[in-house]
Amino acid sequence: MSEDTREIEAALGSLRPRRLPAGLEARLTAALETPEPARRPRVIPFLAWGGLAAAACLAVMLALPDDAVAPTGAEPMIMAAQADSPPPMLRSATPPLAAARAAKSAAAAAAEPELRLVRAEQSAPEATLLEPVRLSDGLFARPVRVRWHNTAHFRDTRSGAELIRHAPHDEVIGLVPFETD
Amino acid sequence: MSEAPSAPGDWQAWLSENGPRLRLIARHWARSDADADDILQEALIRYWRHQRHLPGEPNALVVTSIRRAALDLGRQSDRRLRREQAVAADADLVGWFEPPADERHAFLAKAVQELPPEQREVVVLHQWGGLTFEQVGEQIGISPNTAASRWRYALQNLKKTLGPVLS
Repeated sequence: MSEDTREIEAALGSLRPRRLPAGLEARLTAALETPEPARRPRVIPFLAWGGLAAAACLAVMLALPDDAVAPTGAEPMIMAAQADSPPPMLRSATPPLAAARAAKSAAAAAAEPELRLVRAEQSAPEATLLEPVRLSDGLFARPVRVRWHNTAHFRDTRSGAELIRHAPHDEVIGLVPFETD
Repeated sequence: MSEAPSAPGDWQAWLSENGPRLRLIARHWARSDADADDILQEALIRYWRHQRHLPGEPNALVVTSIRRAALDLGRQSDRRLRREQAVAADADLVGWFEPPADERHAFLAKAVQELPPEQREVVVLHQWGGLTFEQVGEQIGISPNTAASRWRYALQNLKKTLGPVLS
């Protein structure tokens, strides 16, 4: 670096970046000192089910070679004769399948929420008289339209998640005779 | 750059020491002071939470984090960016620095502003970012020699502009 540019370098060095505004410094300090929110492990449901399906397929594949290498001639007789208890060949093939089924059902049971009804509410009905209609006997009547909604709150006892089932109802439930002079 | 604090409560001192020059870097890549503030916050949090354990020189990692945050923000508001580019080009660089102590500093800040953008980028990263030419090259995708050349050209330009004032 030449002598004349050294002077410029020194001058640049004396140029000080502007201090952080007080508000920004406080904001940054607060943001940096705030602990990182804990991350819950994210299990994507379809991946979990996919893994389960893959395990079941693997179990089936492990079972199939036993069938393939088993003697075929005596097999029907054994099956017929020992209908109550599976033949040895089937016994050897069955456990992986059964295990896979059991694992699948256990996993399914574990994945299914255990919902418990916490609260049920029914709103006050709101009745509206509609326009008069003429009945088959020639009289007039006003249909009654009633609107209300039922709300049920369930809670999953395992995860604590809450399910709210909201069911609005809108029905014409009857006729009020229309009196004329 | 001093090590980032290991315990909560030390950030204020660390920010007082390093914040101004890091904000200057963010400001160089931002369109406005407000954007620079957001970029700096995003970059520091990203660095502190996810990158401080990465191998490499911490200062370079922080500058990289600032650049990425600036790029992210730029992508988010690309349309607005195009509309405001002309305005940003006229931004007053003197405001990036402490109020000049004398006329010489005021001229210098103005001369830095008038550098070609590619030279100014190298000046900001090398002078205030504390990056080596190799690190500057990695940041902006040029060779270390090119970075050093831009630095030299920038100094020559500043010398040309400020010669009478300095003498």
